[in-house]
Amino acid sequence: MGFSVSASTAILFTSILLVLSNLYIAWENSYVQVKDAEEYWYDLRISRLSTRLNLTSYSYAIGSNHYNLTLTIENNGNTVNVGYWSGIYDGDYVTLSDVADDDVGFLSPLEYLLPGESVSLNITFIGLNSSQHALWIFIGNGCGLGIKWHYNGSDVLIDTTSWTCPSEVT
Amino acid sequence: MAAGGPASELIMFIVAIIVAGSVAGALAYVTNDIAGGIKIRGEGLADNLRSDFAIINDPENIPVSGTDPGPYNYTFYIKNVGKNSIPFSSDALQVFIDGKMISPSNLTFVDVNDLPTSSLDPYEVGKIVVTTNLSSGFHKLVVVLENGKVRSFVFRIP
Repeated sequence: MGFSVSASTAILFTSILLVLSNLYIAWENSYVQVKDAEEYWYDLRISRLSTRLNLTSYSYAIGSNHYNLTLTIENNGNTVNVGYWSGIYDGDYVTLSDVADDDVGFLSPLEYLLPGESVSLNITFIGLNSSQHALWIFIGNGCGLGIKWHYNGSDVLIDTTSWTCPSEVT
Repeated sequence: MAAGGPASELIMFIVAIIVAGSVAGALAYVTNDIAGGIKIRGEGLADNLRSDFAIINDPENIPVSGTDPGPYNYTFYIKNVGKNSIPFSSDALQVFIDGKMISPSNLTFVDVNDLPTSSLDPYEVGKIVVTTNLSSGFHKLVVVLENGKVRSFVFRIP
């Protein structure tokens, strides 16, 4: 009788220890995973608050039936990776790395844009008419700078610039 | 009678071991179940926190193609701005325009080179082509990921 009690107690005690260790491992793994993801989530939100691009200047060259526009964009926030940028020019997606493929691209290749630094963006072969054009530049965290301009017959004028960031909705 | 004592002891021992073993087995089963649930819930929560995307269209210039009287193909650009790849197919994403769900048969998911794709890597841009008729004026697009992540976008059709 005594040995039966001892043996069954040992089995139960061992199983309870195994149960607790199993649960702890599962909880610990999930906790670490969620905390890591939570940290990333906070970093992403902070990066959106601390990122800002501004159009500081622009220049243009007018040809016989088109004009080329060069926009100088300054980073007034944290460092951003230029390789993650995407462009939307007059509604259509464009790559920004090469001006030759879709008439929009950087003047010189660049990997990172440090705070206070500027990057020049060329837009070429814009029809010489008074239509309004728009370029949106979206950076890696989803925030974007929008620039609208038009040609008034003699000069190219910037109409508006705007800044937007994704926000949660329910 | 002399053998009764050890025999009953043996029976008691076997019964005690069987009962204890059964309880231990049941505990192990339930614990594995709970541990599996914790793992799945943790992974889901972490995935939700690491997933994010943005609708990067020009709100006043949505690319549209098609011929009168429609339906037309409206193109919306989705940029993965999260840490994880996001699924990019009609099985995983729901698209609503003005509160009405767009049928999966009216959705096409392609990359920026118009090649079919089923996922978007971090920082990659994909296109959702919605086949429908939209009137002039303002509309609201809502895209929902399979993990519940939602983004909305108000745009204007001229």
